Amino acid sequence: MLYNSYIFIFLFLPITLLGFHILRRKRYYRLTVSWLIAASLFFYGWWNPIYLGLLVGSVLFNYAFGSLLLKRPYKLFLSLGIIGNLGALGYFKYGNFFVDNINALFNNNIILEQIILPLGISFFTFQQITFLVDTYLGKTKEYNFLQYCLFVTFFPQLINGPIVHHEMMMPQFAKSVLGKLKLENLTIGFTTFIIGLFKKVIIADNIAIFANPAFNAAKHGFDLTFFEAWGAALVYAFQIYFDFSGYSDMALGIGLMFGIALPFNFLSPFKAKNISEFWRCWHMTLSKFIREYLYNPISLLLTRYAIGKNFGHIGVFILSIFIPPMIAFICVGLWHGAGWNFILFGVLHGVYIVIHNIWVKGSNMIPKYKKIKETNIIKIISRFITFTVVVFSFVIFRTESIDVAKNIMESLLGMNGIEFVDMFQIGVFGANPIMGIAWITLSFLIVNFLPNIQQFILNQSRVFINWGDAILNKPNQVIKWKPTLYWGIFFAIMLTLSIISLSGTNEFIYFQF
Amino acid sequence: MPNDIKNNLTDSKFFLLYLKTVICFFFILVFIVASVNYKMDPEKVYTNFFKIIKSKELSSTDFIEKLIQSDNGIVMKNYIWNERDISYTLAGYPTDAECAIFGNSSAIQISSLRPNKSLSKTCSSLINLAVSGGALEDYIAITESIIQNKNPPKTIIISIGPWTLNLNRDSRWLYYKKNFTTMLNKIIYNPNDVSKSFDKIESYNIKLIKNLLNLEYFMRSLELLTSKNDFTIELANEFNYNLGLGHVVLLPDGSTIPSNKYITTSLKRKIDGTSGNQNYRIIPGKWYSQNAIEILTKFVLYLKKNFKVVFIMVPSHPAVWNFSEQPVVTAMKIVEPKVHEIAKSLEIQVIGSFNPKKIGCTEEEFYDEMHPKDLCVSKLENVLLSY
Repeated sequence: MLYNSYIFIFLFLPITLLGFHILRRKRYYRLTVSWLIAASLFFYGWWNPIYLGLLVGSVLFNYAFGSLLLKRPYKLFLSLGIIGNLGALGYFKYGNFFVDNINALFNNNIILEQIILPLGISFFTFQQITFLVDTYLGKTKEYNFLQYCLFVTFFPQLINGPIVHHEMMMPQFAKSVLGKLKLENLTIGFTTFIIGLFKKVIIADNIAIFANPAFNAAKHGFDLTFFEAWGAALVYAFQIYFDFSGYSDMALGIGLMFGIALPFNFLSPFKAKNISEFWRCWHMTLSKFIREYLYNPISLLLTRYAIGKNFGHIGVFILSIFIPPMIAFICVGLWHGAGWNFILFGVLHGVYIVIHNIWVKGSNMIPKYKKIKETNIIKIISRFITFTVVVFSFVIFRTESIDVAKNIMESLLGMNGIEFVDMFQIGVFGANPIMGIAWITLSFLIVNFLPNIQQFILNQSRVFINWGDAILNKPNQVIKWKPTLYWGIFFAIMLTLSIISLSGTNEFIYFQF
Repeated sequence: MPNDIKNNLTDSKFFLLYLKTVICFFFILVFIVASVNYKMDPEKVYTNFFKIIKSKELSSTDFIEKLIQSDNGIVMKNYIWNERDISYTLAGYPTDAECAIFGNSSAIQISSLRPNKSLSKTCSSLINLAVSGGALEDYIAITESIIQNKNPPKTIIISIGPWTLNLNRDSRWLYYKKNFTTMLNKIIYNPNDVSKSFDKIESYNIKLIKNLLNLEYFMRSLELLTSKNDFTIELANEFNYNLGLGHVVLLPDGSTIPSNKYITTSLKRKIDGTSGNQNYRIIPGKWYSQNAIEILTKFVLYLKKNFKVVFIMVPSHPAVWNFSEQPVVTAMKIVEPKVHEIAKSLEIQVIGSFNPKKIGCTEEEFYDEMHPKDLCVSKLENVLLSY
């Protein structure tokens, strides 16, 4: 079931919300939690009921291993638990990719039937691995089964994230806390949902029209010119941002309507001044997971090893600065999908991070740079460079093969000619160049000059304020939401525009991950 | 009363007012959109087009009569028409036309009135009953009208597109679902056997409700609302078919001349064969269904009792064929031999091909990836096979 569908907006959400608040008000705690779990399973099963078995199986498996680890925190149990999770993920997500590559490498003809990727498998698998690792490390306490089920299946985060952490979620599902009905939550949650819906239906879906033709042309062997390629890359970067951040906003909004704060996933990533900051603002929950459960342990291990073995400067550099980010970002790439293009995306970002780390170390040695670092001109240049390299990398994300990505990247670098005259003839903007340029300009203005969802509205929510470290931005003083008549009319118009545009709506890009 | 409780109550008042504002204004706006869409109804899916014409003292037959008697056709201003209504009525109207064309938008240019006359070897004159998104279901529904015609055409020409040998690929035929069902009962001994194939599609009524909240439809409704002379029938004066007029022109034989805007845009656009809508309604792997073939076969057998039946295939732009991995190319490569196989079993003629090279159509003879101009269409009979 899509958030941006009539059935979800007019039936599923109101019914679930109503049932939840009635049961909660009557103080039927277990029934309230069960109601939410049942609704979440129905939400998941709407796509394909067969995969409900996989989700339920995964919950049971991890709850059993979690309980075991609580009593006996043995490495063996943890390893088995992780292997079980990664095994399922590997089969469903990477099975076909693995077999295809084995066939290509050894000239085999192993046939594996086409495996359909279950929705949200990457999200709920990572979420539960975190739980197992933390249980092993003694960071969790005993949870009852219903709470655990809800932690994994809670529908606002189930199929497209954010990747939630038990530390944040479990206390919110506690009997004394769960979903106290407050008009504040309902109002701010509903408004956040409208913002997300608008981002997806009005901006992302409309801008997509201008991205597809150029990528299709490149897919079929056409060489794009420099401007066509940059036009297409820009449009796609904005499309994926509004698509995914729109989804995340909707998830946050829905969660809040139930009185639950979900973690933020976006924090104006296109305003980032370096690539490290970008990854702290883009798909934040994935970045956090990779940082805490992969990058930091590997980095620590390798650095200790390099120092212990006295490898010298180059050895320490390779083992502490180069290898950990490369491994982490290859995993980020692979998390997004089973394909060489995703691996290349990870490698590219790993290289970006390595360059950034070297730059930080190097520039700190230049006293003059320290002085000018905080000037506006340097900030603008930094933002421009970061944005450009990110847009460049997203091309690999969009194309289905390395060859096509290479073709477009050559165009981006001007290797296929820099012609301005023909740019409107095919590809990027089709027969409607004015609209294409208008959408790019509008998107650029929105991402650069408007406050993000936290600055605009969510840091006025006490549910989020209670989760202190979730609020990372101060409120924007110029454009700030208030529960006034004018904002009410404004959001009614936004909602109406979104609803009447639903008929031409598309799936979310991140569903495929 | 403590300050924090007092503040909470004040806050609650504002939040409640805000929520009420959003919800009330939303419902008011939605009501306005739905009302405008329902009232203006540019595609006439809520109110029958001819009922409106009737209110201006012009019956459906009068409209078609006016069309047929006109020298240059009717200017279809403001889209105040449902093309399925027009085709259905035209099908039942007695004319001297020798052939009737069933088809979709790629066959809509087939005409016996244009300088580049189409199908001249097969028909001295014709009526074109093709509709946008025309599917097998449309053909069957329109036949219900044709068999009531007192002077029907002698030949029925059925256009087969790359996706026609399937059911449920387009839902617009549901507009005349009743006619379809009536006809299906006549051509198939036990329609229940095939009716299961139609069960999966969303109810037409639900589609109609959703359409009330459709932005695109609303824009067209607004256009109609703000224009003058909404329901007057404007006869076209003599004009250059290659340039078109401000609106689509319906020629007296039912074929259409696109609007000037469409023609000029298509001239400006470089067709690369990949960035258009060439894969329309194609589902990779599901190139044809046995059920659809069975219905088509029985449909043709039924028609053959009273008509000569011919299959026709209209080519797609040569550039589309440059990219053989595209679903549409695979579909065309699979469906074309299948059409010949069916024609052979039914012993009927096949005109044309999906491949423009076989017919001799060049790149300039197309509006876009899937829609040939009259010059290309006039060459269809270069490929003619009789079984």
